[in-house]
Amino acid sequence: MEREEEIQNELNQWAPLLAALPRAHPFNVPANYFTSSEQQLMQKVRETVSEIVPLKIQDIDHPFEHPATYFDELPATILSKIKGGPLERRKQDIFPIVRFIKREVRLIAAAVAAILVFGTIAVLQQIAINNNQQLTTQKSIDESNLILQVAEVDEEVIVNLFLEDQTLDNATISDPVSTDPSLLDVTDIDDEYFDDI
Amino acid sequence: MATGYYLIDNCILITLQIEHPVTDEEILAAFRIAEKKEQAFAWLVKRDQKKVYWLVRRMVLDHEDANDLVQDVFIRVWNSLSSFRGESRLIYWIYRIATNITLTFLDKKKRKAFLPLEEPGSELREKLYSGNFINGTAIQLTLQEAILTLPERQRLVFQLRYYDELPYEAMSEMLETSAGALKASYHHAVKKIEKYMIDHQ
Repeated sequence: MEREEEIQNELNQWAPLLAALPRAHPFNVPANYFTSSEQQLMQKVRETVSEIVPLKIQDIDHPFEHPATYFDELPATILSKIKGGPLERRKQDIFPIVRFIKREVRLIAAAVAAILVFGTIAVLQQIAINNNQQLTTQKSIDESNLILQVAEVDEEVIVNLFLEDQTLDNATISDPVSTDPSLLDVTDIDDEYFDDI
Repeated sequence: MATGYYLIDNCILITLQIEHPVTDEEILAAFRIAEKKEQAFAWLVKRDQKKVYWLVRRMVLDHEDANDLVQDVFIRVWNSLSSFRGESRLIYWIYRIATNITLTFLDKKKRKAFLPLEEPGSELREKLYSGNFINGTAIQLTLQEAILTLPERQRLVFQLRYYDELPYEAMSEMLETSAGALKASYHHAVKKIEKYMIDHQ
């Protein structure tokens, strides 16, 4: 009502002749048009919408197929999922079992993985220990063999070897020249060499 | 009276008795439910079809053209209603669709007849006197003649204000033009029509 007054005031101010006219138009409609058009409109919408959906699918040239009623059921399916409808409830009923099974499988997989990892580590450690032990044992065996070999040698031989070795060492320390007789030969040395000394 | 389903907290459905005319909220709530979508749309058609028809009819003048265009408008509404964000009244959103479809239709007609896009075609003037379901007084027909002298968009602005009594703000949303520019356009239109009426009295 307020807007009607506002519009009428505008007309009074800007166009007095137009403001004086009733706001009517000369257009009519067929009898009962709006009653029948309502049904026609709904029918048209149904036809158009059902035309559009299959046409879009048929127009696409590809080898894939879908269940006959898939697209008819899809809106309701989506709606059910969104609104927590029957489908969602059914899924919720199934879900705990699936979840339980999945959880069990996950636990077993985790346990197997843990066993494998720790088992591998343990085996590797054991191998390393064994290798060390073998080395130690081998060394011990070698030392033992040497002792045994030494034990089998005649004492006189050992003493002679020792003395021979000792003699050589003493001689080397006290008179290094004696080790190399050629060093005593000075006949070929120039006299100037001695002048420099 | 009609039965409607309401969505509460996105999960509870309850049945209510709806008194006509139904509100935007009632229509939109029911439209979101697959089983009630068609019912919601029937409410919308029942509530708004006359408004849409008369908006289109006053622009195209011919009843058959208007009938076809209204069907196109509501098919577009069906396809787009789920994306309606409720930022304005539903009828203004539908008016926007209707004006776009109607202006496109008139442009196409003019292109076919090689007429300037801004001026109404002589075909419309002929329809005013020879078309079906047009029976008015001499002064009413003169007023329609005067309206037909306006450029297409100004004619639309005049009709929306003069016959549909829309506020400038609503027209601004529909036509994506400032309310001030629309008021100026309406003012010019009224002045032109007044002059035409005085000259052809």
